[in-house]
Amino acid sequence: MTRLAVRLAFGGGREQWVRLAVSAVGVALGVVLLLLAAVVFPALRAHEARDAWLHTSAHNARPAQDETRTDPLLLRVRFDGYAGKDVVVAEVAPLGPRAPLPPGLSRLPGPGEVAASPALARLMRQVPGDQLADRFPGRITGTVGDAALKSPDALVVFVGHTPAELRGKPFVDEVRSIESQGFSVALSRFGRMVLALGGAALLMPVLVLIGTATRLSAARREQRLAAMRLVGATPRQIRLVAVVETVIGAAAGTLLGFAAFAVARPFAAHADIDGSPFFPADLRLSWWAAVLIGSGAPVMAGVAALVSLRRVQVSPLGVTRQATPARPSWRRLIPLAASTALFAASLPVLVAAGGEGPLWMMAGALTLLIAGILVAGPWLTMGVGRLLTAVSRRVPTLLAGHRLTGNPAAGFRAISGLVLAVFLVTMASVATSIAVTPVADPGQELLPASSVGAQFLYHGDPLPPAGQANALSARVRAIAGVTGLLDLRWPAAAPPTGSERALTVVTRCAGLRAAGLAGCADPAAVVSLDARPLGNGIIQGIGPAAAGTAPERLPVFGVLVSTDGRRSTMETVRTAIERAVPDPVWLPWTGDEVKAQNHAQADQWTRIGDAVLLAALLMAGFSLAVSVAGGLVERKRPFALLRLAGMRPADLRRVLLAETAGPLVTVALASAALGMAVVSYIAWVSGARWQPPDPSYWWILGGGLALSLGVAMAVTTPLLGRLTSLETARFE
Amino acid sequence: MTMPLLRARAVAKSFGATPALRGADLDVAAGEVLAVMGPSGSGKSTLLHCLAGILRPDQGEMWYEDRRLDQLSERERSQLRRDEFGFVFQFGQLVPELPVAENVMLPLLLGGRHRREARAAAAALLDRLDLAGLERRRPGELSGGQAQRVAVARALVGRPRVIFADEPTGSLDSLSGEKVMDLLVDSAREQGATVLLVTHEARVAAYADREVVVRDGRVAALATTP
Repeated sequence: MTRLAVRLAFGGGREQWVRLAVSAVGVALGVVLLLLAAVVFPALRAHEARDAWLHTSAHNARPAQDETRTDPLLLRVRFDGYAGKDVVVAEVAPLGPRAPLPPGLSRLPGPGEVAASPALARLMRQVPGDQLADRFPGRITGTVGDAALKSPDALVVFVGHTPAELRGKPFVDEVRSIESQGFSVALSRFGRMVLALGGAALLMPVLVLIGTATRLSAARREQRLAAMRLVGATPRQIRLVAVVETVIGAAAGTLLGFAAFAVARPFAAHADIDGSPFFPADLRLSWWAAVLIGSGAPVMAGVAALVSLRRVQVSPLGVTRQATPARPSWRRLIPLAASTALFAASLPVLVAAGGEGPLWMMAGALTLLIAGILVAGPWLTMGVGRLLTAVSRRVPTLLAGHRLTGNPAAGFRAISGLVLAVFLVTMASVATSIAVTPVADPGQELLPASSVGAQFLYHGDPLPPAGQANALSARVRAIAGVTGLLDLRWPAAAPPTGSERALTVVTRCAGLRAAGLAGCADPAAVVSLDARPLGNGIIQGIGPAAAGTAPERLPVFGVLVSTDGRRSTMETVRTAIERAVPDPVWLPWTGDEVKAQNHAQADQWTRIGDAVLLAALLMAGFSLAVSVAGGLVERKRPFALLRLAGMRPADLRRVLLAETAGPLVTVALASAALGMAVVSYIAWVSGARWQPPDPSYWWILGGGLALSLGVAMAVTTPLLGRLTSLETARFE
Repeated sequence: MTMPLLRARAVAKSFGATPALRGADLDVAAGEVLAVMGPSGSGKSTLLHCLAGILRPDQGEMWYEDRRLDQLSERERSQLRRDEFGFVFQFGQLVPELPVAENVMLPLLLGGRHRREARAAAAALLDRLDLAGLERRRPGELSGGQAQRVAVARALVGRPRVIFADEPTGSLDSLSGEKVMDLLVDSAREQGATVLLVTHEARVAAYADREVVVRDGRVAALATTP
């Protein structure tokens, strides 16, 4: 029997092959997306594991070496920057021949030696030395291997020192091993929910697509199964044939999907999900995910085939005498209402409880809501059909209205993927917006993006003397492109202890004005500022400084240099500051880097949200096209007869458009409203402030729906023409 | 008098609110070729479908030998159609994806017969029905007459005891129709099969041993087997 089913799957000539290929491609698309989704978390974990050595300390959680058999190593890891990218600067000085070796190195660089990652070495060769290479004086004697790099373009440098050069410097650790345990990305509960929603937003349309793609040839198959029933095939044999045939197509699609994934993986590695691309090998598919997806897609296709067979009555006389589908009643709204009520009632309790368990329960409640939408969808579609019938004055909309009223389940099936995508993506977008929108603190002023800042002291460290600061000021002012310098001085006798409520520094108004920050009436006046938020790119005025304060005689706390905004100027300033004051705890930063860092999470979420939205709409659009095409094939006869009766092809196209667009727009709007309501409620219960979704959401949503509809119409128009050509219609 | 092979007693069948049969009675003897005639919509095809176990009547009894057809399970009726009945319908009802030879083999394959055995049986029949050389063609590549002859071959391949033919020449020209009927009736007689033939054409009915007429869902004259 199985052999016969295989024969049937491949035996239909060109038409059958085309159907099989379309189904396989649909399944393949879904499988590729599932596989890509499956490697996201392993890839993020790989990033964390690759960065583990940066967290090396005297008390490593998972030492890479046996600490009883190694000599100490002096290690200081700091973060520099170049053109908005982090440069990891690891300074090392071994205290014995058996000092632990960080990953990516074959030997530790000695004093005066430098080992650079390939990307950094390339950059150092490309740009003038005073913009980058001068920061790491020494001979490049080695290359940092991939094991120490988060991504292929990571900028990492190991600088060798003598123990005397490093000992006693701030943040230098004496370690006997290298940390190998990656630190998890700290995602908030809300963030994890956003990720879960994003995943669901992708997963559902993919599943709908796989189901729809495998149902593409259902109408033709049902006719064949009827012929087989006539000659004595039992219902069980029929089911077996249908399942085997479908699973063959889905299995081919799954294989194709795995092959496409292998091809797409190196390109997908360039995706910048957490701020850095990936090594292709880090997009590692776990065996269980491969098994789950590899077997799940064909199994799902088989189940879809069985479900589609249940919808029709395949008798020996054919499928034409199937019972008229039952009209959906208002009772279909009950699951949606019940799941909404359950969600609303349980959410406050679950949010208060916290932890993983309630998070999964929330996901469960959301799944029930989605199921509620699916159950209610046909009823809403019928409502749209009735409305169309009542208000239509033209034949196409009247026919579409009757079609939707007569078989609302089929009408909804065509748009269910898009409707789900809209619901989930709306939730994900609003949730993202709420999660990432920063709340501005009044009274703070952002530093210009073109500025370069540096802070030279830390708790208890000796301050650079006034003379060193004055020399630095003179040197920086001499750099072409520098437009101003704000010199921040520490007015107290002792360095800060770290317990101060505000880091009060003083400067002259002239410097503030030159830095483009605040206007002072008297350029010679001395004012106080709070430097605590300086590292976040923010400066806050306090008021006039104590009478008689002379900043030029005070030790320097930090500088803020205004530039013309050219990258070369900013990097030259940064290099000059580093060379003049070589041991600040925090290496100089630029205004644009601070801004980018502050918005990094927001940008990341927005990027993920937009990608999910686009992918979901793409999948759903494809489902819609397949579904509309399938529905057209199923209704080949009535359409052909309408054509024979004198209906113009343009009117037939309008029928298709009306019966697709009507319920799509209505139910999609209802889904978007429900999605927004649900996530607003989550935000309200969680105590977060509601934010409207990013403007890109509206563009992508509107454009995506229009595009999906356009694609569906574009795909089905030639098919409509062929199926209803007078030549074809003659034989109906 | 021998017991009829097929019996219908007071059979009623409706489709929704539309009655098709309203108490039809019919006896069909073993080896008999019976033509069921009647105007369009009279219920003759419905009667054939009920007797073949395709449709279940709403009321009445259907007997095949000593078995109540209307009380058999779906599986049992499928098995009966596969092992003891053969069908030739107006449009052939061939499986478009399968070539001619495999269409003919289908009932045997569904019954679990070995592929080689099924192929041999099909080849013999195709040869006899003048279809040799067309084994690899698909139904879409055949003429109407050829497709109907393939349907006849498929109906005969399992050596059925009853062949149900519903307007078997309805889609053919008179010459092709005659050829199909000659082959169908001759082969059936050769195999000793009973033929229940539904037609509204007198020249097709002329192939039968006996004719009955269905009007308004009833068999106009209940004929007994000779």
